[in-house]
Amino acid sequence: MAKILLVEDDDMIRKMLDLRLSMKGHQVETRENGKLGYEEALANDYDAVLMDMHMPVMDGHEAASTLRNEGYKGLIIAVTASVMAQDTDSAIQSGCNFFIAKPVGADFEQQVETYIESFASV
Amino acid sequence: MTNDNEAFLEQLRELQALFLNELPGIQHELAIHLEAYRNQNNDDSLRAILKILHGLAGSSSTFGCDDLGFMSREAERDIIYKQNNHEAVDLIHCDAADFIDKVIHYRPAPKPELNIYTAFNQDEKHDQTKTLYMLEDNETYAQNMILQLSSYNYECQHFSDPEAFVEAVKEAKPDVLVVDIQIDQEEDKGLQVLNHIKQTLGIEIPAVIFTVRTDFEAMLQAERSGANAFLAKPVEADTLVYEIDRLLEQHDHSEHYKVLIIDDDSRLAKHHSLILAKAGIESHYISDPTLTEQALSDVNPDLILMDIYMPKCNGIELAHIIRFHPQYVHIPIVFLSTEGQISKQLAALRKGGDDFLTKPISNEHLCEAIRIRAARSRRLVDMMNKDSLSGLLKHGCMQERLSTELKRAKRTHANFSFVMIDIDHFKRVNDEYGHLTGDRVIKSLARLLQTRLRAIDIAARYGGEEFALILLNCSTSNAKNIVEELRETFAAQTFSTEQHNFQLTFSAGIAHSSNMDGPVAINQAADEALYLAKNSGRNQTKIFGED
Repeated sequence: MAKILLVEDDDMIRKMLDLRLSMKGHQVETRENGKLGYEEALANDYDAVLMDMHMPVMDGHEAASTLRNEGYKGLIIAVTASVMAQDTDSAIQSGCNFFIAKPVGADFEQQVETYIESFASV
Repeated sequence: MTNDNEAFLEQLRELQALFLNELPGIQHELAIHLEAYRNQNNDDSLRAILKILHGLAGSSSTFGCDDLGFMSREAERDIIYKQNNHEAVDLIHCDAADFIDKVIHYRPAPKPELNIYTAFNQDEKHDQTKTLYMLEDNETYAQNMILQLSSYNYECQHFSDPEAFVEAVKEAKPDVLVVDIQIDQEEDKGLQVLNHIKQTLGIEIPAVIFTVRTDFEAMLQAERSGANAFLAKPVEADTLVYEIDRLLEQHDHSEHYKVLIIDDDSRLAKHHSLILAKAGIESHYISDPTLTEQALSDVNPDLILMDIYMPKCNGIELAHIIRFHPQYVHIPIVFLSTEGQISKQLAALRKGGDDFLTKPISNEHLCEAIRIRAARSRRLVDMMNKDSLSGLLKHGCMQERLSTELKRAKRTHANFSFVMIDIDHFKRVNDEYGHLTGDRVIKSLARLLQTRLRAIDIAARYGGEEFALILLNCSTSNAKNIVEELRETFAAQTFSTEQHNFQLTFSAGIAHSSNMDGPVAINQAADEALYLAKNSGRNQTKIFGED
């Protein structure tokens, strides 16, 4: 059971991921753009921040680097459209710890849980 | 599933219904914005287009519209790529335009399934029982076969009257047909019946024919009547199951191939990548040849497409280097180049290439050439890597996968659980009931593993009565839940021989990939856990490091 902050600007995707994660027993908080997202991440404790890297309104890369610049040490998981090294590297460089490829598959929740476990044990 | 989770699932279904309802409206909106952008080239329209594509890319797959998600994502990626490279986005003569067009005209399946993993819930398990209809006039033979087939997850119905058989097939459309060539002393009656079903009624179902004659003429006749496989009588149940499995696998086989493109001209690489993507072939590209090894490991492609002339190292050298790795020896390498000289082409092939395609090349030609080679490569690889009895990976192949996955886990921190399973007292089965029955047990467990595990999980037969699993993105506690469910299901299964019924159990050991520096270490850990399970009374699962 984890506290997860989901930052995603598309209504449908946000609701869908919220439900999927809630179904697995997690406590989900959502914010609809990068700016609100990083403000909330700084204000409260989360086991993971799920950040879409391709949000039209505020780029996920920007939100993640802003968080890191503000001293945020928590887990940020990038949701990216490609798994090739050059694309995921840029997400990691912006300050994300791990990435999940879009479109999310049937094992999305398990991926998130595994990352949370990995991050906590380090 | 708890009540809370049920409620969430219900809401998710409602959300899916909403998505499907809104889809036509969204497609219409997309078309309008596209038209506006083509006429005026304004930022607002492009932003609106991206927003719609982004939304569809993110949610379609979950709601059961995989293709829609794929096309939206490709369109989104193409536009963003152009924007990042300060290229003009005209959305008229480009790949994004083609994808957007497909998105606009996409029609979902009548009842799309939610693409979520709610496995190991009895009500929602993806039922793998296949229905089999048999036309056979020898009652005892048929009953005997059916008895044996039942332990393989086949639901069988037997007919001795051809007309009743045809009617039933028309009605129920079973997964596979088994027909004896000779019915009621009429030598080719079975063929006639099959011909009627396939040709006249146009019902396409994989069919096995029991033949008497095995000469070429007989085979030809059977083939022409629509048989997919022929077995000479007397046919053993195991042989029949093997054939049917093979047929059904081919029938359901979703040809999803992966291609790795290596081309220093990244625009061209991307272009080819999109062409293949449109043909349903998943492709990834790199423009820096030094990243090849990592890309091969990440993508695990069925085929490599590469340019010969690249500044850092030429394609021929690269092909040669790729072949240094035993695990990549089998991947077809196709060169795509303007090189017209036959001598140079031959040199390329000599060094490790498999084929040469000269540019310019039509899109259809490229896709077809790629698909054919990837398909054949897949089949060969499967033959090499899979154990023929169980259909699972062989021991050696599993070790390679373990090594790859351990490296990947170190890099991406996405850990996995490794499971070793050993059937309890298996030697007794072979001794008391014979090896054929023993084989049947192995097949049965193998099928249980294949049907209950996720598509991304990897299963292998370690030889004898031992199996191994790699459960990706899985903690040991989750893994234990999965394995316990498998254990209980297997224990509940009854195997039948002509005179006896018996049941079996297995023991299992689980090890986590974190802190394991190689396959040897993780094998040892899982083995220790398995050993503990055996010594604690068998029929149980133990996790390494936990008592």
